[in-house]
Formats: sequence, structure tokens, C-alpha cells
Amino acid sequence: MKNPTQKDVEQLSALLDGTLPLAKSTRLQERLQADPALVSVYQQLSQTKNLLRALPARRAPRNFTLRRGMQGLQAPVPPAALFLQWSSALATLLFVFALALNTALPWWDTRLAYSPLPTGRGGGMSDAAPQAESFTLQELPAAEAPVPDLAAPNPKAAPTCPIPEGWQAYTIQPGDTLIGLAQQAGATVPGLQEANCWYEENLYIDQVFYLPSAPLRSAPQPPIPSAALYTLLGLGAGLGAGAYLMRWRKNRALWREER
Amino acid sequence: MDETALIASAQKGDLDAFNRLVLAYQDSLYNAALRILGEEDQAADATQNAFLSAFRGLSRYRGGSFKAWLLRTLTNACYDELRRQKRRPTTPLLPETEEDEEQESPRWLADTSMNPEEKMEAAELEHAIQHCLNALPVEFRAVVVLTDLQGLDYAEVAAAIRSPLGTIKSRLARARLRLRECLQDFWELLPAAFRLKSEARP
Repeated sequence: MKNPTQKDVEQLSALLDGTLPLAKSTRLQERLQADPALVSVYQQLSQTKNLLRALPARRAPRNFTLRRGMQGLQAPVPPAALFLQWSSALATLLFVFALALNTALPWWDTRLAYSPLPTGRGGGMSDAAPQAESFTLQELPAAEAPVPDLAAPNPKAAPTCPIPEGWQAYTIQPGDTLIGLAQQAGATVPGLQEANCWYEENLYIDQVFYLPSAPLRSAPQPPIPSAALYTLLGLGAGLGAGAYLMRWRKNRALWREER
Repeated sequence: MDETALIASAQKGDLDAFNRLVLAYQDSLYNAALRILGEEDQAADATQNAFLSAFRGLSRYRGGSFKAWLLRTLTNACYDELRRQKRRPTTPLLPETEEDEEQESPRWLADTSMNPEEKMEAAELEHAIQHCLNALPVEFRAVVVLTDLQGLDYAEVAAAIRSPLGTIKSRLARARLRLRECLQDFWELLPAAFRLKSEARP
């Protein structure tokens, strides 16, 4: 007679619960007949089980029923949630699109501005070096309109004046000065005056003036609505609307609960 | 409405249907939590949390014994509760009461073994059993509570505490033996029917 092993105890415990396979169960029953130590262990296990079963069942101290509004329990999902849960992804996509647009537009614009103008343009501008390339979009309307009407003094100077090769035509904009243009084009005031045969100190708006290179500050671009600005506005509006919808959802849930 | 119908409508989000299930099972779950945790407030917290996560995870219930499924959630809630308890011990650091007076016997200085008053308290069988359950490691306690108190079968217990069947068998056998040894100390409390004939009074 030896002390029951851990395996014996496990088998006895399983026998007690009736989960031991039949073959093992029969063998164990035979051993139980012969071994009082096994019987003792079996009885101990059985008594423990009975004791535990005899533990008085306590009643729950309160009801554990759930209420809406308990942490983590959400009101039924309103249809707007479907849109809202993707809104941030949508906003990101919009943002990227707007950013791309913002980068591409100025580039596109420069391409337009520097492309050769349609051939039909020569007429009105004939006296102002037709081969000169325009570098602003602004010049397009100027090309259509007869220049002499707009800049009266110019026709007198231009036809007789030999323009140095490689100089470009520039339409004077409000705010342009001789000194300013000279500085920006990298030339001197007398040099400009000589080349253009223009010895007055004043320049006239829409007057065609020749410069060695395009001034740094080209004609003001047509105001392109800033895509970034619109993106920011859109995001702000989206966030505001989202917050409002969430609030509405919460209020609706509360209202439902009260009802 | 029978249980299956209630579960089906609870799965569609019907809270009232689920609450009827709660009322049917709250005593079972509370008792199991009480025996695993050994403390009433914690048991109530664990029970509430178990029902909450059961409702949230109801879509994962795929037939079988609903009670066993609930008890599985409860076991997890009990483990969470024990972890939380370990993470934020609530004993104040300074031996002072709220009125800035020095406390005579701070709780953490107390002897954790049973003092005379506790022994008196344990003079009831229920307390004695709970005391012995508390002395078991929590994995053993969970197995013995689910099997012997709640009447789950081995497979259900194995699913509940995510352990292989063999582990359940060996834990159960050892837990029963250790409980028995512990309960020997309360020999005089044991109802006569539970005593061994061969046992001599200590």
C-alpha cells in the first residue's frame, strides 16, 4: 500500500464527477476495493465537493440590469454615424486633393503665361515688336486692344527706336517706376531710357516698355482662390458639423431614454 | 418568451430583453464572483462589469449553455478586478485619519492571518469555506467555484478560463484536496454528515 499519486487523485476526482472513461473507471474501482488509502482520498474529495455544494447561495445585493448611458453602452446608431465615421478620412482626402491643386495651379498658370501666343495677335501690337514674347496673362487683353489708344505717347517713340536684341516687352502696371524697373531688371535708368528712346521721367499705365529681362515682380496674377484656405474652411465647417451631429445624437439618445 | 428568443432579441440590441436575462442569472453570477473574489463589493463590481461586457460581446455568443458563456465573461471580469486591485492598492500611506489624528492600528500593520475576531466570524461554516477558498491561488479557486458551485462540466470550465482540459482536471483535484486540508482546521464546524468516520478529533 503506497500513498496515492497526483495522477491517482486526479482520476479519483474525475470519477467523482463521473467523467472518467469506463475502462479507467472499472480499473480504479477495483483498486479502491483493495486500497484503503485511495478510499480515504476519494472520501475527502467527495466531502469537499458536498461541502461546497452546501454553501448557501447568496442573493444578489441589487439588480444588475443595464441602462443606456452606462459606460460603453451607446444609443442605437443614427444613419449620420455612417458618414461621420468616415468623415476624417474624407477630410484627409479632400485636404490632399486641395494641396495637390494648390501646387499644380501656379505651375499650370506659368505654363500658360509663357506659351507662345496665338498668331492672330499681331495686329494691334505690330509696332511693339511682334516677336517679343509676352510673359503675363494680363497682356492678352492688351494685345487685343489697340495700344496707341491706351498709351498715347508710346507710338511716337517705339517705331523709330531700335530695341536691343533679346529685350522683352513689358506692360507698365500701376506703381511701376523707372528706378524700380531698372533695379528689378538689373539695368540703369539712363540705359532703359536710351533703349526705349523714352526720356520722360513718368511712365504710363499700359505703356509697352522694353526691359533686358523680365522684372522679378511680374504683373499681378489673377487672384486664384487659395485651395489651402478653402480646405481649412472646409475642415472647420466639417468639424463643426460633426460636433453638432454628435451632440444631436447624444440628445436624441437621452430623449429616448427618458421616454 | 424563452431564453433563446430573449438572447436573439438582445443580440439585436434590445436592452429590455437582455435585462430579463440579467435578472435570471444575476444571483448565479454574483455568487460565483463572491466565491472567487471573497469580497462583496468587488463581487458586485465584477458582476456588473461582466453583464456589461456580456451585452457588448453578445454577438460572439454562438449557442450552447448561456450560463456557461456568462460565467466565462464573469471569470474574466473577476481576473480584471483582481488585477485592478493589485494595481491600485487603496491603503493610505500615512497612519493618520482624516482629522489628522494618528491612527492606532493602521490597516497595513495588521496581521493578515486570522485574529481572534475573525476566527469568531469564521465560526460559521460559510466563512470557514470562504476563508479556505481565499487561501487557494485564484486559478484553482476559479476552477473549483465553476465546477462544484456552479455545476459546469469540465469542457465548459476549460472554455471559461481558457485552459486545456487536463489542466482543469489536475487543478480541480488539487484544489479539492487543499480545501479539504484547510477545512480540517474547522473540524468542529463541519456537519456530522461531512466528517469522515476514520477521522479523529484533532
